[in-house]
Amino acid sequence: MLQSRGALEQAEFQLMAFTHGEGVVSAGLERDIALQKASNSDSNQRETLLSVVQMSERVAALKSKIGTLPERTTTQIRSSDNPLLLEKMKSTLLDLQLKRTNLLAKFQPSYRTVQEVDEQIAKTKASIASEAGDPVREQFTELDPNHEWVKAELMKSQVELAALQARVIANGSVLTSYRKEAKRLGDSAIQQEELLRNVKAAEEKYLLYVNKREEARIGDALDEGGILNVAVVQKPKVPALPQHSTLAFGLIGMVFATVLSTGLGFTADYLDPTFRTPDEITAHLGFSVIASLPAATVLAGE
Amino acid sequence: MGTNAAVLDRQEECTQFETHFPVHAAMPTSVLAWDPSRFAEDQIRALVRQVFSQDSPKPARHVVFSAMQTGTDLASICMLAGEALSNYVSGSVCVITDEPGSSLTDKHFSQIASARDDVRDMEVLGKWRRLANNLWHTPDAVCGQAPGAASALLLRAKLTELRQNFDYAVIQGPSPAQPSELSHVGHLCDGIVLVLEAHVTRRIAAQRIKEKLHRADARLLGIILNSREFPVPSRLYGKL
Repeated sequence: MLQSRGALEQAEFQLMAFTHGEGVVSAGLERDIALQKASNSDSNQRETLLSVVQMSERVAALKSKIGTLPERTTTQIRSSDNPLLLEKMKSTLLDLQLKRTNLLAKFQPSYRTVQEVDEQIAKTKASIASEAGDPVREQFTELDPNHEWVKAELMKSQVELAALQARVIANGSVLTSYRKEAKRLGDSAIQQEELLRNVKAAEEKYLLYVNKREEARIGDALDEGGILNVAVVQKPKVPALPQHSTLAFGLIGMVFATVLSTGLGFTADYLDPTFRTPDEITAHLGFSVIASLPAATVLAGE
Repeated sequence: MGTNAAVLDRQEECTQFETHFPVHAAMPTSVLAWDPSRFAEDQIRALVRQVFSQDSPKPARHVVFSAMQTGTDLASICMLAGEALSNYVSGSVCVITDEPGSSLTDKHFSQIASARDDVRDMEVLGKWRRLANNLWHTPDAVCGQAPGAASALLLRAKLTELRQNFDYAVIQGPSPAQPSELSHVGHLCDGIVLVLEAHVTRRIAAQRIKEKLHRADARLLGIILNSREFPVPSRLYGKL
């Protein structure tokens, strides 16, 4: 028995040493938790990789689109005459015509000065005609919203792609660490289960010896008392609650006693063969009772 | 002429009976606290009024009281009935009991004599004792003094003498255990009052006695229930 107890203590000591050395309490449970985390991390990694591919395609498409879209677009084109210039030219023409009229009052049209004025008048008219035929043109442009949207989305997608790529790298390292931890805990779980089996086996062995010793002690005690061939089939247990409710027993007993006593009273009253009241005499004999007297001591005048 | 006088005397007695024995005389307990003694007296007065009432088609004047059980204090009942009767009729009343040495009866005599103002000393006239002005008593057994036919003749002679000397008679009769004698006495008298003991007298026995009296053509005037118990306490009964 001492040997079995020593074996049990040794097995328990080995289990404690393993627990302290490995830093695990329940290797199997922790392994399962690590595997669960690794599974979750792997799932996240796959989703992140899909996002990276999706984002790369998006960046490529945006880059191709941004080359085809103009940076600015014409929003308004307006054509009109130059009124100041025309007014000035018409004023000049009027002055030239007044000057020619004055010159014609003094000189012949063939006079050189008159002809110069005629030539200037002709140029001025030509200029006015030219100006009237070529109006002023104004054109307004703005930034293209599609080009701007593509540009912004491209920038945003590039940033998100960089973040996703960083997340893929980080998730990869975490996943690797989880897998390593799960593998280590799996090995530890195997060792711990083996140690637990050893402890359990040692404990059962020890309890078996204890029970056998107790049975032997009981057997010796019974032998000393002259009682033989007695074996405890099942250990007695003290119930936590009584098998039947005391209150229910009391109520049933009270009801039964009430019914029984009432029935006995009615039975005794029914079976009583004597007269007790004047009404019974009237009912039984058909004669009315002319007097009902109390006890004889009353008649004596006491 | 003599018949008319007797009728007039009877009418006078009836008037006196009703005057001295009003209907409400038996019911004062309704306004007073319940008292067993007073209750017994009221019951006796009601008994006298009902048995000796002159309103009935066949009024009874000489009545035999018979107890079913041997332990019944029949002499006291007869004395109480005789006393109550003497208070409310002007005619002479006699009480015949068969217990000459009963201390209980003597006690009744003393109480009656001391309570009545109409008699100073108990007058003794032969075997008769006068307890009141119109109340007489004799401790003489009516039956059982002689066997057979001699007893019957003697009984007839006694009752004839009683009828001649007294207007009313309360007679302690034989027990129903002697049915032939009781029937004979009942036949000679005006009727029989049967006294039953509560919780003692059996129904079947009372039924047999009633049938025997009926076959003997004896008139059963009524029944007294003696030693009746009241299960309700007197304090509570008085409040009802």
